[in-house]
Amino acid sequence: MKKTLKLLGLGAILAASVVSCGPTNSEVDLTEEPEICQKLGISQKDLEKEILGDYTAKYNVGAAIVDSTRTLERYKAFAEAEYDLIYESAIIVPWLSQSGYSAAVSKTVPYQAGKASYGLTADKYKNVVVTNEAMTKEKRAAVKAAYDSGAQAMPITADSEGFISLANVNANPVVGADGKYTVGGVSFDTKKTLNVSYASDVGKAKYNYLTNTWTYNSQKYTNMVDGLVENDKYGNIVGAIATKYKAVTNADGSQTWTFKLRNDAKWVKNSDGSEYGVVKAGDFVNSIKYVLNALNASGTASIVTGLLKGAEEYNAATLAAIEAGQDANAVDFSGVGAKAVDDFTLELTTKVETPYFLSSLTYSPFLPSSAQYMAEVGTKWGEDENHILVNGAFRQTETTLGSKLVFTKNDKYYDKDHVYIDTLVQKFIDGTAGPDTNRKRYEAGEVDSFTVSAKDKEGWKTYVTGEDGTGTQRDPANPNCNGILSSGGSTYIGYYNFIRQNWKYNDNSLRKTDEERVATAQALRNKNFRKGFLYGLDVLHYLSQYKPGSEAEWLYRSYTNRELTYATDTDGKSKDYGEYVDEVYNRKQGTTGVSLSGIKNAETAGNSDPVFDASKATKYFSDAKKALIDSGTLKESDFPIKVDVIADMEATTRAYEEEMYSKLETASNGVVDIQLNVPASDDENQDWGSISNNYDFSMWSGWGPDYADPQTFLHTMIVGGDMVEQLGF
Amino acid sequence: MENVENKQVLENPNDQNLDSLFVPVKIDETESEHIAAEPYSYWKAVMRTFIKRPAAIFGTISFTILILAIIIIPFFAPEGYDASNTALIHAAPSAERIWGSDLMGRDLFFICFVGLRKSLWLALISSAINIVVGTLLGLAWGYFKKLDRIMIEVYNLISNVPSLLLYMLLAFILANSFPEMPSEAKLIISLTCTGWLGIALFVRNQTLIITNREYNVASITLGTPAFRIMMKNLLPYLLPIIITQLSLLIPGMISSEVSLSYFGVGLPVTTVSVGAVLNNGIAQFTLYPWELLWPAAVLAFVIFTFYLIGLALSDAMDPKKHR
Amino acid sequence: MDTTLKQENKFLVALKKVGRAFKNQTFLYIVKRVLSSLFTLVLLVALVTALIRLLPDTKFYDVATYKKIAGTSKVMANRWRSMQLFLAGRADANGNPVPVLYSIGRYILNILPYYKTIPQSWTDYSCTTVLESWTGFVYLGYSKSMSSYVTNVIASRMGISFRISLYTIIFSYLFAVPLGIAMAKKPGGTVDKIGNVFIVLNYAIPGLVFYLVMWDVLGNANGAFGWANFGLAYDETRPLTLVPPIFCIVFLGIPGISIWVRRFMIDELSSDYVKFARSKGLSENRIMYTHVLRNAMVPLVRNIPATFLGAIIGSYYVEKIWTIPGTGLLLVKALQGVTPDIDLIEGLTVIYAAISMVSFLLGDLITILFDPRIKLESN
Repeated sequence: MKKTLKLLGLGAILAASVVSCGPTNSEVDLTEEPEICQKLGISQKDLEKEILGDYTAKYNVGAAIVDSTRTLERYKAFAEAEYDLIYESAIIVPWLSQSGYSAAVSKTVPYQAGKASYGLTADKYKNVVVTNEAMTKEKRAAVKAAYDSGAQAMPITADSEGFISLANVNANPVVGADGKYTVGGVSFDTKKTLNVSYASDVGKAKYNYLTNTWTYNSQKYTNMVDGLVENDKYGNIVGAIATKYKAVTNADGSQTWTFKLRNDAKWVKNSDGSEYGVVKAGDFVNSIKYVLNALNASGTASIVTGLLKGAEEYNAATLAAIEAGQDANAVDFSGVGAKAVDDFTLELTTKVETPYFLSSLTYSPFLPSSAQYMAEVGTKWGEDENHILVNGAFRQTETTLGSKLVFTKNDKYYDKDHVYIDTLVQKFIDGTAGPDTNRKRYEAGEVDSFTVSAKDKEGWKTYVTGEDGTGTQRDPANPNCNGILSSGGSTYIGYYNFIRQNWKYNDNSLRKTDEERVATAQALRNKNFRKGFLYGLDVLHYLSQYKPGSEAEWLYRSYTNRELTYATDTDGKSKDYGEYVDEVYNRKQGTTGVSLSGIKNAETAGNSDPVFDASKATKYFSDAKKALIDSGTLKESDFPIKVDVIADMEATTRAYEEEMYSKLETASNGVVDIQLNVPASDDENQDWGSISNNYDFSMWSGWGPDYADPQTFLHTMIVGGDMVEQLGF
Repeated sequence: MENVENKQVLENPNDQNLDSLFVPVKIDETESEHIAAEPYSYWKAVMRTFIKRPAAIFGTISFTILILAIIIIPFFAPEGYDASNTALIHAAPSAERIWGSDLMGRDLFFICFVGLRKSLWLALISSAINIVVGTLLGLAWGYFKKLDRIMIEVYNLISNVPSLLLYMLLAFILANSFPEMPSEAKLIISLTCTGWLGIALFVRNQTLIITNREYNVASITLGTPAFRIMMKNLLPYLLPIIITQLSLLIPGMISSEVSLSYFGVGLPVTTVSVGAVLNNGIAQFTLYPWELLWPAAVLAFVIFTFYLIGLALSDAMDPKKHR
Repeated sequence: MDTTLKQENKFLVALKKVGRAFKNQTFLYIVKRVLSSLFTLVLLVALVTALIRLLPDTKFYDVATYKKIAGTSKVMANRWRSMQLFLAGRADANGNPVPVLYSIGRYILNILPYYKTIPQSWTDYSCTTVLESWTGFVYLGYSKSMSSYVTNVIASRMGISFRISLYTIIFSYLFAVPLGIAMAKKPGGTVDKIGNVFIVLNYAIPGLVFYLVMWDVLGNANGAFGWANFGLAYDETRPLTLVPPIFCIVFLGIPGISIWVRRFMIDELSSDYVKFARSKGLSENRIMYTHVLRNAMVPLVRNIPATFLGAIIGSYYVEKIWTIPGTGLLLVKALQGVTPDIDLIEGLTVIYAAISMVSFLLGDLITILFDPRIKLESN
């Protein structure tokens, strides 16, 4: 899922104005080559192949291996491709991973809720148990011990009909008659209300989960609508509405997954909880049809077209129907690999063998939706919480935007025994609040949990380091504070704009002449020039702005996020995919024991960032300059090359940015001149970063995993990949 | 018997000497025209009343301090006080940096005063424009009855449009049509686009009151052209009031600048001006209170000064108080 | 005797009463004012609609999505764009842009109070069959950012702003009037001097800074006022959480009122009837409270409706800092979203204008009621 979110931990970004530099004429001309391409004398497609071709070739090697028994081979091939992407073709500069330790104080019992490094599970409040007091270290240790030792493996034996059960063998215990929740020999008094804080109200396309790609909204409806599967507390895929499944490979290479559904999952109306009907297989098919119908312009269509057989053809057919002025709804759907065999049996057919298919089913296009209800409300479906049906754990009963949201337990939920909260209250926390406001609210009893911010010196001292200063984020001093490892999440990268089409500036002194624009484009084509950036950016210093004292935790120099997926190596050990990339890195760079993950590298090699090396950058830059001059592409007078970067709107962060870039400039020895272009408002910032691509180099964006396989990340950067728009293609 | 001595005295030819004891007074035709009392000079009377007021004394003192501060302090600014410096971000007040550093690592003390210069300058220009335009329009408005009707409608209309809407639209239009314009000019345009309305209304009210006074009625009857009446009759009367308004308007402009920055339609975030620095401080308040409190104190001091002077001036300029 | 002559037809009597009412000056005055206000309202609607029209179309649909769709099919992209613009009220169902005058006319028709039906949702985006409609008298639009009708949005949020404004009016007058009176009793005396100093200092404090400081000082559980548990945010189950915001508004509002009270009182105190009363031997207090106050309050009271209704519009800063779900935030939110919420902006403008006109009318009526010198006679 493309997440172009602003990074966490920033101070309040003051109100944005309506000022927008959005293009007034948004007619897109597809026939003409962009101006830059004409000046460079190469077509857009060819340039794309030139830059991304090598990487794509290596990627295809790995992507071709689909057999689930050859995962190790697949991952090793992907690791080679990943190394090429970053360190040989030098297309991106990865720097941040959103997984790491945070010090949290909360009144919820740990290790009970579903866990996953992808998808929507992390925001579910099902299985969350609230207690009356903050967790202490002893109790936490007891619960953790029970968690570590209590893992049951998912059953893999098929029954008589060939179905594998998706029942949750690691289900949590139910609350006892005395109102206590017991796990690991410890009993907790339970509370029925949970107060949390949230910072952003729902955005556009709010509850239309079939078209929406905004995180703020998915956090809300993931608690209201259940899909086929979900994750248990160990990350295993267990059934939600599906009870068992069967995967059969067909003769033509496609794979048919048959799911048996439970018959007691009910649809209720959000406003009053009254029953509407039963969730049936047809509801899932309806969702897929809706998503694939080009008429609905769904942002999640690409997930489905990439997986299901016949999906892309159907999508294209609806498109053609619209262009011809015909009714897209009448297009034949039968060729798509989604069928309701009967009310409680669903058949999904994937294009090829997809071992990670179950993990991708946690995503929103695979959530059910009632066709009958859609017909009833028409274009209002999904506009707000009262225009969707609920089959999940909670109903959103009260909404006061900018103040609070209240969720109430859904009595008709099929798994209500595992919903331990009756009322979930989300309180809005305003931008003017400081980093310590959440802590103050917790201490005043207004919210039940908070994460200690590194910028909150007083709170940091009280909870994390303690009076003697020995505590750390991983092992905080205060008995009520615990180090939580957040897994999964997005990685953030720096990337280039190879085909720039907009040059907007707020500071006129930064304007570039035509010659300068061409010079930049030519320079960017040179691999060594890009490697100069890769080795010359001191991202660790930049990170210290967000996480002072714990930058290493968040530093990450590879693209696919760590702890996303594991494969068993030849020696029998299960290793994180990231470790295979480390192996390739060590082999190619001639080092040993270096890890691309900041924390690990700090432990083994002493310094967190294995990549930043100013002398290497100098060398690459001078090589690039020499090559460009020798080949006659550029002249001496073209240097330093002006590279525009979208500057951070936050004045504090910008100071760090300036320092990082000035280090780069010094290392480049006059080859590069970084121009920081400051947007005037949030709108302009978003426009420059994701719409008009007003940059030569940007660290604005990142990617989050859609399923548990490196392909979800690597697929974004191949020729025609999901993210290449940001690269200018 | 007669007193021969008395008679002798009476019949003394020295009678004529008594006359010489009296000197005849000159007869001066112009005497009656001369007023014995001291001439009343309006401005001298204003000065006298002004000085007597304690508010004026405080105001003048603080105004002098302000001007001195603006002139002298930036002179002492060390090299690089306004460069961002990550090592010193959010530094607490210390011996080196009296007021600490702001969120970009700049020296707060010097930033405040250099910024104050800029803010005052902008406020002065905007106020001047507002006053001039407002007065001229207000005079015409109050004088011509037909114009009055139209202008009242216009006033009602514009004052009911939410000012935030106007500012944002204006900012948007300016950004799109005149991207080259420096942000200071944009700010001045924003501040002056509807600022004159209030002044115009005020002047109009005053004009209505005094147009009916005898001297004006006399002028009108005598056929004096409207423009001359406005300039020579009405304006001098209004001048003191306008000056008072000006002194209250200037801090108002600075406060407006702060609000505009808050909503993102003011000067860019890194500008060295009171508004921008104060706004930056808002988000940091809970952790680094000095970043907000010191600029706020400076702003409060400016408002305080101008308000005092305005109060004292308005009292002093009221002829009824010249006793 | 024919008694029928004496019994006047009751209907005629009533008609005569109505006829007389029409001649009543106050009634005529009110009618005149209301009519001119309505005229101004119509002009205002036209102005605001025209201003909003200055915003480009690109603000009303997501350009990134447009480009993405255009990558596959230009026809599809244009269709999608015209559908978004239709839902935003800028184009008709076929994608042709709507002229400004038409928008203005349509809006005015919507706010005229007659029973009407306005379609809200259709079966699909070709907008042929209507599914859901709104019926009622005055239609102010549907707010997209708040997901409900503008009238509902304002009505649901007005309650808390109303309460806050009520409390602030009561308390600020409660404190400011005695202060003004005390200062007016002896102009130039110690009380007056101290009062003046307080007023000037109070006036100098920038409002936003004061709110922030008080928010922290009063709300911090570990601070000096932790015992009172005022809290850092508004919580409707705990009425004490309203104390900090109300205190702040009252505190900053006192000087404004006190100055006027003092000025009016001083003006009255130097008038003849007071000198006369003094010479007759009435006590100072009696003069002050029974006679002078009543006269001085007249110009003050005329401002109360305006202040009250103005406070309903809400203070933006206060509501933001204490996260109070009032009406103050609405306009700013509507303007600052990625897509400006035009229905909400226009609806709010109309409502605010109506409120301010009503409050001025009420203020004038109150003055007429209280001040016998003013007579509504046509010249």
